[in-house]
Amino acid sequence: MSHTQRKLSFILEKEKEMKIERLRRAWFRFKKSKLALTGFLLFSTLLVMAIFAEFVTPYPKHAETYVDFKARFRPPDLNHLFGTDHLGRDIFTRVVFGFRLAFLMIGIVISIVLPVGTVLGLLAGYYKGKWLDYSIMRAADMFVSIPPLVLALSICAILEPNIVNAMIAVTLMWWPWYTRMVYSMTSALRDEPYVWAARALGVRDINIMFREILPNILGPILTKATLDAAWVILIGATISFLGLGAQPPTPDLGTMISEYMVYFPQYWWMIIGPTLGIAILIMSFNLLGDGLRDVFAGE
Amino acid sequence: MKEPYEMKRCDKTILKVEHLKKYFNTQKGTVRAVDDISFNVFKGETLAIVGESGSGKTTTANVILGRYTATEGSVFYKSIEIGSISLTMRPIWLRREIQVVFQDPATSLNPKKTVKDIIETAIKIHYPQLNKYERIEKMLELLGYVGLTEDHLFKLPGELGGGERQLVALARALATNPTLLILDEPTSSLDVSAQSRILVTLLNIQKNKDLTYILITHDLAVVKNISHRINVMYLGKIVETATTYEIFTKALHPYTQMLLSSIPTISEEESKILPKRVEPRGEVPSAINPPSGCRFSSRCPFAIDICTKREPLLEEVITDHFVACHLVNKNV
Repeated sequence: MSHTQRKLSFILEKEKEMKIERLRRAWFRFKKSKLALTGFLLFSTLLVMAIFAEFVTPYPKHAETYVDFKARFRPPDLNHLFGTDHLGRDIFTRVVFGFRLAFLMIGIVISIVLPVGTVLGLLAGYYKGKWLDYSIMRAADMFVSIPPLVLALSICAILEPNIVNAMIAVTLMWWPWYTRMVYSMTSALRDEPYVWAARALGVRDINIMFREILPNILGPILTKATLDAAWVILIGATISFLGLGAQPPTPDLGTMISEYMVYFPQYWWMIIGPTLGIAILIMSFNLLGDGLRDVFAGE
Repeated sequence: MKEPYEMKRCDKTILKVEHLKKYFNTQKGTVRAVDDISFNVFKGETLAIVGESGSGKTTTANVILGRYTATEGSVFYKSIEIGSISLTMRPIWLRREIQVVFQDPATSLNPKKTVKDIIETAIKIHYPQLNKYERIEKMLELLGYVGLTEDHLFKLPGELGGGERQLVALARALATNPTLLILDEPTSSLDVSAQSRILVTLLNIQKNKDLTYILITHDLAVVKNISHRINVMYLGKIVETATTYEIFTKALHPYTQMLLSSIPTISEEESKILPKRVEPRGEVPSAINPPSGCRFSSRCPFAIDICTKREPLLEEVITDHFVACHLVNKNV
């Protein structure tokens, strides 16, 4: 290996080091905020619990069809952290399995909405004033103009009421908000001097969108996604609560609340578990989102 | 000041602007940002376009670059008409040959990309055959031209000083190996020490690579140091064109004299060189509704009757010295 080649590979290695260094700094900014760190720890704990639900819950069988009338309506104690329900199932177990469903829903909805909403917003914002802009943004306006819950309920009512259709409903009502946000940021950045410099260099439009503009708007997008994840949980729970989402005995937090509501206030502890579950899930996402916002703002 | 620059008639014309007009339609009316100007740019020279804000100098540069297309008239680059082709429609070889350095390096460099990524983007497009080692070699060579080192390679624009940022912007423009470089107020957002560094670098690069510069600026000190010829613009018109030496010693148009006499001086010797103070009246009129006749007539201290009635034409009064002024043209 010649001298120059050794120097060049040294430079390439240094690039890797610098990338790691930047990640380290981002983590430093993130953990400066105690609340963000709490949110992150809460989030990862809940995620791990949800993934390994079979191993961390005391009665994994109680998540599905299971009946034990001798054990029904037990108040909270050490064996049953949140008590038992009307069929004698451990509520704590069912809440943890409910987390799994909630994370699944967020994961699927975000992995569809984030790319689709971002790409459509980039295209519409970059070709502002062209037909592509009009067709995308008018479609977005149409979806936004229907009240979200009405849209979700009608989709779930027309199709079969189940968890998959609830996800479709949430996805359909969520993407325009992304597209609108990305659209407004993109149309603000498309005339920045660095975008013109890229055009002068001969960078293709598609690369300008994804390599020049996207890195500059990624922070707000991810922050919004995290904060909105809480909203997805809420709307999902609402759909389930109204009986159009997951059907019993599926351990869904919203479905559970609507099931257990019947026994309120005599067996009041039954709804404490799922309600607390939703609250803690939403809180973890909100704290995480705030932390991410600080990381991106500090760059 | 540069030595008297002999304009060689045999010089190759690289860019030819003919009766260029650029109007913008706004709610208040049509803004005549550039109104019928013609000039040539010769290979290897630095042509400065000076004037106050709103004189149309940046618009002219943007039409040449392709950010705007001309309303009327034409721009010929090596005898190809480019004034009507917007930047995104221009072929890649053309974009390679005309490059630009913008005013504020804080916004002309992508804040999320390292210096390496910024320059590599240009190299990947114009030298697709290079592998990643050769690309780095090329980058180091470019950074060397502008006086930066490999230590700057992995920094973000935000981690560099203003002058260094502008040098990176310059290195990026040089990455395509251009023939014509448009410098849009390259020094006006920098502090004085950084300004001189940029100017020296620009001069060295021009010497080594036989580049042609179009320098847009309002800073006459910069012009004096690096340009060969000067176009003075006022409200979308060229009022005077001459070599730098001529402009600074024998300015003929009252507007040029006004610009020169308003240069701040620090010693008495310096103020002796300046032409005697020409006090303008009023403010720059709106480009929507420019004064009739000579556009400077509303502010000119020497204005006579004819000035408000007939528009003066750009005429050659001395060899290679063009002036658009009734007072001067009458005397000749």
